[in-house]
Amino acid sequence: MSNKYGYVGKDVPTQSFGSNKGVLNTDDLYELSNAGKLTQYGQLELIETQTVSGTPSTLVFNDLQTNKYDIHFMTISNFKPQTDNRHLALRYQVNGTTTTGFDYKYAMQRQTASTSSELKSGNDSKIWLAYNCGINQNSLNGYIIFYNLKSSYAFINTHFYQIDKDNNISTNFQTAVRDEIGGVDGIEFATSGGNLEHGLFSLYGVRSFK
Amino acid sequence: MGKLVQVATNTVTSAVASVTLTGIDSDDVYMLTISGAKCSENDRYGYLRVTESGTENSSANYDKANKTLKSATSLQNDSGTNATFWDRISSLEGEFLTSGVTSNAIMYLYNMNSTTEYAFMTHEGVTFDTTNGVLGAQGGGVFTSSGTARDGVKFFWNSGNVTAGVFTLYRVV
Repeated sequence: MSNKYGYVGKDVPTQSFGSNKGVLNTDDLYELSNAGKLTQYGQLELIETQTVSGTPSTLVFNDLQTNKYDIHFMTISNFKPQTDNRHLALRYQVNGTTTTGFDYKYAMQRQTASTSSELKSGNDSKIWLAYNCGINQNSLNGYIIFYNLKSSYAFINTHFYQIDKDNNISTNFQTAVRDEIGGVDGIEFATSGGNLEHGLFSLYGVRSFK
Repeated sequence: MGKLVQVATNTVTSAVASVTLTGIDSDDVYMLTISGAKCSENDRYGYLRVTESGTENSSANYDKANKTLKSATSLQNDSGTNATFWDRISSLEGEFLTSGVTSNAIMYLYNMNSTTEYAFMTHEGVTFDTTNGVLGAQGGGVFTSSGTARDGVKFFWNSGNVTAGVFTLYRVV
C-alpha cells in the first residue's frame, strides 16, 4: 500500500519540496527526505572534508553523489606542497581511474603583485589551479565550482589566492573543462612534483529540489 | 550558521523563450545557479534582466564590467553602460547544438529588495565556444535605477529558445 502520509481515503495531497502537508511521522520524514520531497532549507550540503595527512602523493574525492547534485562547490584552505615552488593540479577520475589524456582546456587570469598574465591551454593533461606554492611560503586558499560532473562536460570555475615563492600576493581566476562527456566519479589533486603537505579540502553539493 | 535556502527553481526540458525566477523579498544576498543550459541556436549570448513584481525591467540601466576567459585566444575585457540587459551571463558563443555542450554559471545578487539602492551582481560562467575552446566570463554589473524593489530575474538568449537547463534561485542566510 502506498504511503498516504497520515491521510486516508481519496484526494490525498501531493507532497513536494516547499509544499508538505499533514502531520508527518518519523518514517514519513525519512521517506520524503530520501525522495527529495521534504522541505528542508540548507541547500549547501557538506559531502566530505579531507585533511591532508601523511604527505600523500594525491588527494582523491570519490563520493561525489552526482545523482543528487548538478553543481558542486569545493573550498581549499591552508594548502601547502611538501616542496617549494610547486603547482597544484586537478584531474578527474572515470570509473575509478585517473584520466591522463590531454583532454583538459583552461583559461586563467592571474595577478601577481603588479604583473598580470594569461595562462591558457587547449590540450593539457591536467588543470593547474595555482602556481609556485611552497612549504616555506604562506598557504594557498580558494574555491572551485564544478558543473555537470556526471552528465555532461565537466566544467569548472576557480578562484585562488596565495603568497607565492617570491613573497608576492598572487590571485587568479579560471575557467576550465575536460573535453570528454560525463562519467566523472572522482576528483584528484596532486602537485607538479613531490607530495602534498598541508590542506583542508571540503566538498559540498548545491542541492536543487525540482 | 549560514545556509542556502531555495527560493525558486525551473527545470527546462522543452523549448521556452525565457526563464523567470521570482521570490526575492528580503535584503539578503541571493544566489542564482544555472546548470546545463542550452540554446536552440549556436553562438548565442545569455542575457539577464531584473524583474519588478514579476515583470522584466527593460530600461537602459544595465552596466557591466567583465573579463572573458578563452583557452583558444587572448583574454578580453568587456564593459558597457546603459544597456537594456546584462549580457555574457552564463556564456557567449556557446556551441549549443553539439551534444553535451551546456552553459553554466553562478551569480550573486545584491540590494535586489531595496527601493533606494542600485542592484548589483557578480557572476562567473563557463561553456565551450564555437572553436571548441573552453570559454568563461567573470565579472559584475549594476542596475542603475532605484525606487522599486526587484523581486527576481529573467534569463533569455539574444536569439533562440532555452531548450534545457536547471535554473535555481537561493537566498543566502
